[in-house]
Amino acid sequence: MTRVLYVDDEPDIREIAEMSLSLDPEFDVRTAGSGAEALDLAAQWRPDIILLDVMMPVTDGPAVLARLRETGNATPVVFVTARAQRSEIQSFATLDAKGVIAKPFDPVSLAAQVRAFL
Amino acid sequence: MARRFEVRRALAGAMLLAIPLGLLGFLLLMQSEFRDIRELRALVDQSVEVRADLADLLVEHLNVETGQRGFVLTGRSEFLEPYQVGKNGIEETFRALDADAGREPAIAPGLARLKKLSRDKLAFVDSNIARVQKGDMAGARDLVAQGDGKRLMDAIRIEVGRLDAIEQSRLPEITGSRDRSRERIETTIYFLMAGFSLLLAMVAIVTGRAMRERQREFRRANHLAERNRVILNSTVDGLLLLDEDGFIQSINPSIERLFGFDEAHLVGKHNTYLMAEAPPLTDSIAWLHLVGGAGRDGAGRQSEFTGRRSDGIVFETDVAISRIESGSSSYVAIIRDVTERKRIEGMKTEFVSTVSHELRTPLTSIGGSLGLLSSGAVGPLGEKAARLVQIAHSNCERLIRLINDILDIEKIESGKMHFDMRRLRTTPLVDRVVAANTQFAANHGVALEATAPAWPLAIDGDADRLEQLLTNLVSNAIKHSPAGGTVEVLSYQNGQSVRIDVCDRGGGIPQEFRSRIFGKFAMADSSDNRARGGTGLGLSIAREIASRHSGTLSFTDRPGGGTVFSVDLPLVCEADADRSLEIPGLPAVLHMDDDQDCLDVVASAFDGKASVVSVATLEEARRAIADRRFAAAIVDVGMAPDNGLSLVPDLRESQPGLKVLLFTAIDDPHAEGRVDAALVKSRSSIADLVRTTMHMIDDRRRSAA
Repeated sequence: MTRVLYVDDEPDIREIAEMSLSLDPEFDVRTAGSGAEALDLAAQWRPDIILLDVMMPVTDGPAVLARLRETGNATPVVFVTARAQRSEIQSFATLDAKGVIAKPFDPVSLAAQVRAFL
Repeated sequence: MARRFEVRRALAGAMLLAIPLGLLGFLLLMQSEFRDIRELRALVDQSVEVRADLADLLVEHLNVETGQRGFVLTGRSEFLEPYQVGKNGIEETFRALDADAGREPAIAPGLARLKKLSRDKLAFVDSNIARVQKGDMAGARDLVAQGDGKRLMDAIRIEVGRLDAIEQSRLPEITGSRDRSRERIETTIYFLMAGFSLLLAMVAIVTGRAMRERQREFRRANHLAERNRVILNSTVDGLLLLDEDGFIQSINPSIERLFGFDEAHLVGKHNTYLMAEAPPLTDSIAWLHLVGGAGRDGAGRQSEFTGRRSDGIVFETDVAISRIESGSSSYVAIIRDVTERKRIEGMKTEFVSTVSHELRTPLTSIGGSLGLLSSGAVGPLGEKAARLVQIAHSNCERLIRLINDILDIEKIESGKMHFDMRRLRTTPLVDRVVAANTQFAANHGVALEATAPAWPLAIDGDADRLEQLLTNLVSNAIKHSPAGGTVEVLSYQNGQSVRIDVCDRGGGIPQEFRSRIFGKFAMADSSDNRARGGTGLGLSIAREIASRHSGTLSFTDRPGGGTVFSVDLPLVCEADADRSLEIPGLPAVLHMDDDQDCLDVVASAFDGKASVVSVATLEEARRAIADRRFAAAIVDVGMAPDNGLSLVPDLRESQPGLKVLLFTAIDDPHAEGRVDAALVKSRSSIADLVRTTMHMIDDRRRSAA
């Protein structure tokens, strides 16, 4: 079972993401509603991949990634963002993320997209 | 205005020149007059001389007479002395008279008579004297008493008197003419004086007027300069006048305000002194000369730099440079502080991003829910429910597309869409679009075909945006094609452009729509297009993308029905570039791979070792083989839809002895027999590839030698 952690401050999106990702029987899915929660879960539950929403209050996606790497956590990270402007995507590339998934995402193919990053 | 001034100046010059010329003429005239006077004086002297001679002549004849009489009376020889003296004197005096007046027509006949008389007299006297000397004193006395001698003497006296009178009467004539000459001189002097005065007066007038004119011009120029100075000083933007190499010659007050340096401090420094990060001086000068060479009409070349104030604070600026020819300055640079503008732009960008995020967040939830529902992934729905969900879902997707398009168009039009321009081959671009839309085409029962150009065509462009453009055209074509029809995508060179045609056999563009087709939210038949999922912005965005690539988007009707949308983009001449890549001395290596990044990496890995020709399709590879000879060929197998191995027979046939290497992701043992080496991408590094290739080339060379 592959452990997938989805982080987003929007509860509705978390719910849909969880349902979409669960369509893949191989995925064990958990969600977090904030950067702090994400860091806790990352440390305790040890996901195989983390999907990080970029725009979050208090601690945004890039900040969470930075914290993870600081603490020596090398879990692959994929950013999820509604912005997806080329310049921003490029800046994510320098941040040591595996890639970017654009919002709104297609729920049916979300799992497959995540698989490609593994 | 200047011409009149010139004419006046010429006139004054001419007049000034006339003065010395006039003086010269005057001098010459004077000289001739004085010569005349001298001649006249000589004539007067001569006249006086003549009269004196005549008087002498008389005296001498009297002496002769007296001597003769004395001698005749007394017989004493001492009376012969006056006779002799007189006789000699007469001779001399006649000689002198001949010289002085011999040619004078009034005198000459008288003189001749006088001479005759004198001769006669002397003959008489001589004969008397001879008689006495012979002893006949009485006879001599008788002759004297007869009076012949006296008569001759009287005649002589009369003649002399006459001649004297004539000579006397001539004098007034001479002096008269001398007086007239003097009068002439006086008159001439007066005339000349008057003339010169007039000339000088005119010169003075003309010069005076010219100077007044110049004064006026000067005042006018001063006034203009003052006005310009006021304008330049009051303008809000900073202004620099630069010399040929960009050194500051003068500044306006706004520069002081912007940068905090005063004019004295800045004059003589290079303009890069004002920059936070100054480029090397040679670069800056070269760039400036490039600007200058580009256009002399002063169209400002725009640029920007980060300026640095005297207190160290940095700020963003826009600068417009123009070439001018004004006195000693060569360039004018207008500098504007754009901190505020950038701040506002930043706010706008922030706004666009935020809006996009805010709109897309709920749509993620909506679209996600509906997507899951309509896919059946969360359980079956009743028929009606399924239908409703489908409607909601498709409209949600439409809304998402609309938001994307609106944001795209806003970004493009406000210039904030960033285009990542790179050198691209058109063929892989078109192939990707076709591949991405094949399923969509199939869903509509439409076939999608692409025709590659005869030779590889290259453009500078943003791959993603161009794909967006072509996808839009292709999906439009598919939507408007009848079932069973074909959409063709043709790429070819059209003059200096690359043209990509997307052709359909649909119903064509309706007449009333033709002018609006590229406008926003323009749809030929709203209900029709809505059903097909269009947003009405696609062509508008497509046209913007084309224009940002310095290209055009247009359409024409197809004979036989349908439409052709044509994208024209400036062609980048690669042919020459390729040829120039061929470095003499280095072996040529052909590399075929459909992955542009792989081509780039491998090409640079061979730097200095081999001259690499990179091709992305089999077609191009075949052309390259036909074009030149290679030492080795590196072939990728996966060249969807083709198999790279199909190139190998062509290679073997056209260039025997060529070394063929496979560099591929696929590990295909069957290939090994047909090629000289096979490397698998995941197991072998680029360095391995280079090493192996060069090794084989050397082998070949050695075996050929």
